[in-house]
Amino acid sequence: MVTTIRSTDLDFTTIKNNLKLSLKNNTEFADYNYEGSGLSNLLDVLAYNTHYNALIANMALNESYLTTAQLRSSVVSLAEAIGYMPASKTASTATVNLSVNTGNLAGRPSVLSIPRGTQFNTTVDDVAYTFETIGTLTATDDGFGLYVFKDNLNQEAITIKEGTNTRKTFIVSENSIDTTYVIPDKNMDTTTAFVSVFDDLNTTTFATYTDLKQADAIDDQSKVYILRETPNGFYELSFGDGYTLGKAPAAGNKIVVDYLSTNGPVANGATTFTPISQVSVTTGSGTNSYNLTTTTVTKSVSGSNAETLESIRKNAPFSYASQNRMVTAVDYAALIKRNFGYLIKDIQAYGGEDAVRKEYGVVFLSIVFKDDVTQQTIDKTKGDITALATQLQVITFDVKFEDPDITYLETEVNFQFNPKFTSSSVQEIQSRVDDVVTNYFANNTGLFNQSFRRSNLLALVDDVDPSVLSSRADLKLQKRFVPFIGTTESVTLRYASPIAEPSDEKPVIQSTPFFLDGYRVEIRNQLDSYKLQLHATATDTVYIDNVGEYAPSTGIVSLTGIKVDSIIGGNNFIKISADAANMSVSSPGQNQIVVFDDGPSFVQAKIVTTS
Amino acid sequence: MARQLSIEDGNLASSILTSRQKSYSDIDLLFDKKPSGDIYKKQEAAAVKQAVKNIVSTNRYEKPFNMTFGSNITGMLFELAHSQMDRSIEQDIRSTLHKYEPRAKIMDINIVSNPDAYSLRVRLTFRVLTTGEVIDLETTISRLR
Repeated sequence: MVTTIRSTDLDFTTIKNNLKLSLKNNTEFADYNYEGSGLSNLLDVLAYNTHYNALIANMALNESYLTTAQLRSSVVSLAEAIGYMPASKTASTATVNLSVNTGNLAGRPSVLSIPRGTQFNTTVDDVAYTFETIGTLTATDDGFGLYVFKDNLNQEAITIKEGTNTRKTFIVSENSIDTTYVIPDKNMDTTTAFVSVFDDLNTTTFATYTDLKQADAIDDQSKVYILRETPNGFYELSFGDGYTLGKAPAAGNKIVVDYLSTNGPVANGATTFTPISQVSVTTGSGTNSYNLTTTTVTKSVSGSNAETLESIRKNAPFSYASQNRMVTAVDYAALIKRNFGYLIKDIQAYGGEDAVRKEYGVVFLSIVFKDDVTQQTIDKTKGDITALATQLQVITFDVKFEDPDITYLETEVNFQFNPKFTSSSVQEIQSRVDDVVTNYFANNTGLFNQSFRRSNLLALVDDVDPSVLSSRADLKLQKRFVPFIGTTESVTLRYASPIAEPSDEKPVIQSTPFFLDGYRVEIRNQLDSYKLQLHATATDTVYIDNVGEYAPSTGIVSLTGIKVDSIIGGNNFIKISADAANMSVSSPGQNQIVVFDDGPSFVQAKIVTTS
Repeated sequence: MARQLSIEDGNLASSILTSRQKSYSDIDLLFDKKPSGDIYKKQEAAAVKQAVKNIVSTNRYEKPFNMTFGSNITGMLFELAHSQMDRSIEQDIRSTLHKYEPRAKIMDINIVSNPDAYSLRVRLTFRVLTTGEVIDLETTISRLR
C-alpha cells in the first residue's frame, strides 16, 4: 500500500499519477481518474507546480557542475571560478612582407614607420575582410630608397590580423573599488587587447597593463588586468585591488582598451592583401605618398570561434590541476593547449626520463598542429611556447620539440557482395565502402593515443548495405624517409607496431622504387630472412645484397649504407611498407600517431550469389 | 487452528461481491464551507454534471500537458460567425465528452449562437450511465466587453 507520495519523478504525468496513488488511500473522493472532475483540476495544479519546482531544482543542480551544465554562461562561470578563462573568438592571422620604394627621393628620412592598425583589404569566398597590423613597424633606408618594414622582433615577416580595430574608453570614478568595465562586443579577440591607463583625461603618457595570464609574479605594483567573458557573451575588464593582486587604477584615470573585433574563422584562407592607404614620406620640400608593396608570406589561418562548451569542459580541470605552473608533463600540455589551442589539434608532453632515448632534465613536446597552420607559424609558435615555459616553469627544464612520428597505414579491404540484396551496382557499393574506410580513419586516427582497430572498421563496412555479406581487411604499416640524393646514409625507422615475421612466399618489407646507378631498384627483405636487399625490378635480381635489417618485435627497420640517385613518382620521399604482425590493431606508442595513406589502399568487392 | 470454509462451501459469514457499486464523489468547486469546516462534496450525478460542465467550459491548450482536453467553446466566441458554427461546436463538445467523460452518454446538444450579442448558449442533455439519471446542463457564455 502506498503511504507516501513518491517524489523522485520529474515529469508531469508521473507526478500526477503519484498524487492519484496517494488519493486512492482516501475513500472520501473517488473521481480523480476522470479528467473533467474538480479533483483532477486540482491535481493538475499540484502536479504542474511540483513539476515546475522539480525542473528548476534539477536544472539548478545540473548547472552547478562543470560536467553537467548546459548553458554557456554556467560553463564559463564555473570554469572561471577555477581560474580558467575560455578563449574568445580569435582573429585569422597572415604574414606578409611590406616595403616602400621611394626611388631616389632627395632628403628622404633614414627611417620610416607605419602605425599599428594599418589596414589591408582581402576577400575570402567573395566576402571582403580587413586585416590590420598589430604593432608599429619600422623600416630603414637601404641606400637606394627601398624601405623594408620589420616588426619589434626585427622580423620581416609581418603579422596581420583580421578585424576592426576598436577602442573603448572608461573614466575611473570615485568609489570605483571593484568596478568592472564592460566591453559589449561578442566578437572581441581578447588576445589582441591592449590596455593602457592614463593618469588623467588630457595626458598622453600612459602605463601599459598586461594580461594576468601572462603574469608570473604579482604584488601591489603589478600592472595586470583580467579580461573575462560575462554570462551574456560580452567581456568585462577588471583590475587588482591595489593591495595584493596588482595595481588598481585610481579615480580620475582614463582606461583605454584597444582590440580587434573579428569575424573569426570565416576569414581563413585569404592570400592577397591590398593596402588601403599609402605611406607618407616627409622631406624638407614636402610630403609624398608611396604605395605599400605587399607580398604574402603565409595565407591567413587559425581564425576561430569562441571556445566551445565541450572544449572548456575538457580543458578547465586540467588547467586548474596545473595551477598555471608547469610542473608535471600534463601541466605543460594543459597550459600550452590553453595558450595556443587555436593552432593545435593535439599535444603530448613527456619527461625525458620516459623518452625512448632517455634524456634527463628535458621535457619533450610533441604537437600535432592544425592542417592549415604554416611551417613559419609552427616555428614561431614553438618559440612562443619555449618563452611561455620559461615563464611558468617551477624547475628549469629544457623544452624540446619532437615532431610526431607518423606511421602511415595501408589497408586492403575485401568484401563479399550479393547483388540480389540491393538495387545498387557493385561500383556504387564499392564507392560507399571506400568512403566509410576513409571516414573511419579521419575520425579515429591522426591524434595521439588513437588506434586503428580492424573490427571497428569492418563493423562499419558490414553496415554499409545488406548486400555486403562479409568483409576482410589486411593491414600494412608504412614509413617514409626523405633521402639526401646521391649521398650514402644510414636510416632507422620506428614503426608504430610490430612487423610480421619473414615469410618464404613473399617479402614482408617492400619500398617504392627509386633509381641507383641507373637501375630501378626497391628495398625488400630477403625471403625467410630479416636481411634487407636492393632488388633491381627489371631483372628481379638482387642488386645489393645487404642494406640493413629489420626487427619484427620492435618494429624497427635499419637501413645501412643506402644511397638514392633519384626518386620515381614525383615525391621527395620513399615509402617503405611492412606487413603488420597483428592486422587487428595498430596502437601507436609515445610520440607516435597513425595516419591513413589512401594511395596504396584499396577496396575490392567479390560478387557472390550465396547469402 | 481455526478452520474456515469457502463461501461456496457454506461459509455464510461473508458474502461474495458480485458487482461493484460505482460511487462518484468529487470536490465542490464552489469551495463552500460546511459548518464543520470541511468543504462540500459533489456526489453521484452532481459530480458527473460538474465534470461535464468543466469539460465544456475548458478551452483547448488550457489543461497542462493535455492540449486536446476541452470543447473550446470560449475560443469559438472570438471566431468569425458562420452558418456551420453551431454544428462545429456541437461536434467538438460531443467528441471531447466522448473522450474524457465516459460516465455520461450524450442524448442531445442544442447550440444557440447569437452573433449580434457575441454570446453562445449550450444546452446539453445526457444520461449518467450507472444510475440512468437524465440531466440537463445549460450554460451561456458571452464576451465581457
